[in-house]
Amino acid sequence: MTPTEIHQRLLEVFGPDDILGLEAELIDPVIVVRPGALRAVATHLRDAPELAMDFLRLLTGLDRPDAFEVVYHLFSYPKRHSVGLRARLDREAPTVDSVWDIWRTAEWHERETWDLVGITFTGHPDLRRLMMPDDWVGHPLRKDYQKPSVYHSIPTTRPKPSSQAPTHVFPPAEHVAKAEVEGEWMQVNMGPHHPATHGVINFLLETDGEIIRRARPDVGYLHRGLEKLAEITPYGNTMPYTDRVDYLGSMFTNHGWAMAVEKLVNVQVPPRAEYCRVIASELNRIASHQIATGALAMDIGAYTPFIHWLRERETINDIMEIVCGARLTYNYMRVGGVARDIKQPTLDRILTWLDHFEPMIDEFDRLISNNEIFIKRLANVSTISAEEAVSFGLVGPNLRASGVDWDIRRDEPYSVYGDLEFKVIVGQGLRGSVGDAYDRFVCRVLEIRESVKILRQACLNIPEGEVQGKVPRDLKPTANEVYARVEGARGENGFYIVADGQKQPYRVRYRTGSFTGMSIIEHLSPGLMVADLVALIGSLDVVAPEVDR
Amino acid sequence: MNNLQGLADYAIRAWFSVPDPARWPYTWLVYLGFILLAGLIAVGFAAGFAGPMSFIERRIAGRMMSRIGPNRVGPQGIFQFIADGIKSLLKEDIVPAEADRPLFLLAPYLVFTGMFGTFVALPFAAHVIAADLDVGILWLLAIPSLVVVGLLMAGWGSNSKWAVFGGVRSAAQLVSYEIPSAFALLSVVLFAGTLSTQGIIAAQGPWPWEWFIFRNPLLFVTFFIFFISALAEGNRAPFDLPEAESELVSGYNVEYSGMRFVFFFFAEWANLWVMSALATTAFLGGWQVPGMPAVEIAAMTGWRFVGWEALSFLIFALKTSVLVFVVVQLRWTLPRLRVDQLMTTCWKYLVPLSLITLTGNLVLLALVPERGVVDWMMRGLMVLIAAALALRYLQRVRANYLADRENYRKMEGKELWYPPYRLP
Amino acid sequence: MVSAVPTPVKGDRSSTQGAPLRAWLQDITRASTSIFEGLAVTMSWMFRRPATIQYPDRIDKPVQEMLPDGYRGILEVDLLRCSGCMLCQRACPIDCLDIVVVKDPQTKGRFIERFDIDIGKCMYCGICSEACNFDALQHTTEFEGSATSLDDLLLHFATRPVPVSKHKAGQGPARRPQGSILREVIKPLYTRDKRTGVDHLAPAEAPPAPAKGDEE
Repeated sequence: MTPTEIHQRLLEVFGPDDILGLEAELIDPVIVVRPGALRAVATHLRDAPELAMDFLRLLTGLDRPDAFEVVYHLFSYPKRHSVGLRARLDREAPTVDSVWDIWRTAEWHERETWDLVGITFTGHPDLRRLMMPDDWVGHPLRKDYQKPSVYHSIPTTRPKPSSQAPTHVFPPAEHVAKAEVEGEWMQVNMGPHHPATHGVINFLLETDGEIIRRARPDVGYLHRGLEKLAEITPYGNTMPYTDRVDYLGSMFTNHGWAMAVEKLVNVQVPPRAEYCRVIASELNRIASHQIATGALAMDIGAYTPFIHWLRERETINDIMEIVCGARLTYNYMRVGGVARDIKQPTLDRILTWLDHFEPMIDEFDRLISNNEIFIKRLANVSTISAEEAVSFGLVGPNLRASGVDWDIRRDEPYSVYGDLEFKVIVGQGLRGSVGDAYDRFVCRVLEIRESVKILRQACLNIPEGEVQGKVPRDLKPTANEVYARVEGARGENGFYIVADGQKQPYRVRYRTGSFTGMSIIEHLSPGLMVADLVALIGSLDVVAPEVDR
Repeated sequence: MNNLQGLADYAIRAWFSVPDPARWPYTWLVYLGFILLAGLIAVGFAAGFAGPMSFIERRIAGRMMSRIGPNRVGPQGIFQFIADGIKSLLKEDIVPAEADRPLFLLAPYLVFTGMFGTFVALPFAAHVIAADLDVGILWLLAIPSLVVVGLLMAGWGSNSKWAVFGGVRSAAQLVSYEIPSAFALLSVVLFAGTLSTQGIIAAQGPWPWEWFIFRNPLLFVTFFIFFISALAEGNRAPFDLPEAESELVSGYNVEYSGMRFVFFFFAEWANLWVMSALATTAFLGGWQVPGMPAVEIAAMTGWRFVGWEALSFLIFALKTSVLVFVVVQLRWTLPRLRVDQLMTTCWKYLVPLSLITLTGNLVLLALVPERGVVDWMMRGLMVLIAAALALRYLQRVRANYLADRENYRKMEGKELWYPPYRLP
Repeated sequence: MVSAVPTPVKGDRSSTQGAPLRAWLQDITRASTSIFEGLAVTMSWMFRRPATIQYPDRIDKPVQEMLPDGYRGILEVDLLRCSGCMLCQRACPIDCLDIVVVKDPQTKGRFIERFDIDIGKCMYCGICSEACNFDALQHTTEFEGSATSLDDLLLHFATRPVPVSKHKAGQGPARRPQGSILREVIKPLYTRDKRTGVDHLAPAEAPPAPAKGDEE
């Protein structure tokens, strides 16, 4: 169904009092709903069989001059249609009903929105700050927010290099809490510095011996305010910042941002540039999945596979050095094209490397994927059903491992993925139930093989031509809203941009796979062992900066 | 008879011209001196093994991960372990403020003692053993229990939750795995008819078909049961749960620093030798030299005796080293088990298997006369099976080695392949 | 042999279902065969050459020379080609360039008085060098920039006022070799011994030797 049909349908059910209108002129149309009717509309959208909007892609809080807004981007896996919902809230006391029990992924999204924009969600079970510290004052993404100059005597701005004296004074160490035993539960802090948390994340474990009663992720240690930064940076200059959203998959965030801005300013990308994008993205996907699978093996205790993957990844890094000049923060794509062409020798080199790489995947499988201990450690551990995966907004390999046959590359072809042949890997429950940790691992290993196929086709079929399209000198899109998404290594990388005719976006929201991946951990943790939690975190492939942005 | 006492008596007669050491008033002093000397030699050997072993393991791990490993201190980095030792000695010995001080301080020594106590009954060569105890196997099974106490004390005394996890895991693990390991050794004891380690070696012969491992199919299985249990008892991967880095950060030793930390690691690497030497003793024919029975060596004197002893030690060390290498290789190949799987492996797989093999061995012992036709057929069959397995292994290694050689050849001519020496 | 990820086996969902004895034996055989395979892989690497090299002293030539031309290392600017157009400063997303162009009141000539690059702040995105039409601002393949203080990370390329270049894009003096300007400007914490290739603390940064009288 098109958004207009969905709007008609909602009008029939709820009437014009609740459904206030359809903003059809936007690139991604949005239906405006009366805040009081939001819950009813949301429930209907999810439950009506012909609508079946089971996936809440993104929940955004917007600070408009006249009102606060909450925007819900919805999608339906069975029907493959999408629409946005908007509720305008009172500026003085922005309050709206929580939808956390309709789409479970809203739980964390609402927490983040409350934290950063200051919109209260009534009925939310646990409305605490997510990114900022608990004693932070104010909501940073509001337009009238003034940041404090110091926080606990730590200056919030970097001093000029010329200023001599160190100004940083560490606050006096507070009393270290002793072992807190409440009842028969033990509280353990897993992190922020722990080898298995893949970055700076803290898990507050409540355990009974080795068995976890609850694991509460405490994120925000890497919150750099990239969404706020994007609001003060011109469209083109945000590109290097998107590298930092997900340092293991910079290419995808590059690609998503470029696509979103291209939609806003209506720029055509030359075909060779599209092929360059696909080649770079798939190389990056291999590298990212290598880190994911290798680090999972390392969390389980096998070091050698990880180092072997790093050896193979080194060649990708070398190729990336030639292609875009950096090994990690690529900053390769530009609005309307790519920064540099991939020349023929490099393409030959990629093809030669692929010949070498494929036997190495077999070797990796012999070494670890088929290892019975490894399988027993992962099979039937933290199984995520398809319903849970969709409700919690899992995306990418995590979603496919749960049996949902969905890949944006195939189902909503962007770039030149429509011309390339590849298989979408879906979890089959190889050695356990569908959606267990082993399925997530296998999905990634098999996706590496599919990426090899894609790379072969792309390197051989790349057309001649320009790599940079015609782009206006100053990117100044008219007031509009766009939601662009690409299939990243960690799933859907969504970019919601609200443009208001300025050189900078009015509001930017990054939708990342790790954020939703992280939010399911608390739900899955009861009954796991400490070692299983390590496997769960590893198998979800959570990258800390992508959670925090 | 006790070798050490005999040696001491010989020394008293030779050096002090005392005809009857039993009546000499200072005999106990010389005995004490000899005991101390033996202890010193044993600890010295263990330290001399553990130090270089820490370097060798890192080099092996490096090669398996297609990297070089420590290579900076001295030629090829062989003095790395000395540098590490000095560094650890100079480091501050930190005791956490909230720690249970006496337990925390005592724990490394208990682990150390438990591990090095086993050297008392471990044979090295035909007549080199600190004390050939009549209950040698019993001692070897019992004395490592001190390690459990030490690890628990370290875990509890650190007053860190991760350390407690490690300590409790190690206690559960070591106590459980003593059962299959004891059952496995019991089979050997049945065949040898003695608990003495030298006696068990003497009951085997120098050639592979005379070893206990190839004596019958059940003992072949028993060897693997023992080996796996020994891995678990020594906290080696895939059973290194007490110090699982990725889960418990470092487990029981997470709060330790400096020399106390080194004690734990000394014990761990010395234990590599202990478990491998025990397996060699019980299953692989120990130090037996082909064509030269121990009795004949004992009858020799002077340098001939020393030479044959050295040869027997070399054979023993070679067999042990092969096992040590396998243990190291396993660590860098396998992932780690989970706690419940560790217990499952022990109670649902190893204990039933060891009971089956023990019963089967009893039956075989009763029915099959030693060195009869059936016995020889079984021995021959087992040696053939083992040889076939080894051949298959080499074949697989070769296949892996050749798997991507062609691709490397293809890339060698390419100019842009950069930098060229990254290729193996 | 076992090469790819195992194909799904019907009825083999979990070892707890079905005949327990068969599952029990299957577990043992699977574990032993897969461990056998894994050992064969690691063993084969004992005979292959390591993929790593011994950085930094046992390599044929410095890594800087091996990096591709497009590598985005530390920035350098050739002031003889710089026209003082400030495009790079406007392009920089994080204001790590600090350029001051002054006008001589008498001659009406423009001079670049200051061209500072804060490489402690720079995120090596390459946007400024793309904006430069004169090939003046470029990334080098230099990457070793550790310093003892933040001040040393502020590179001053203009030590005295330099007249702006009047050449058109694509003309002007030949660009000096990449990295040669930077090496004059940067104060590295470590210098490499040409003979042995070993890094040493730069002499200027070495702590002064204690006076003899202080020692007892």
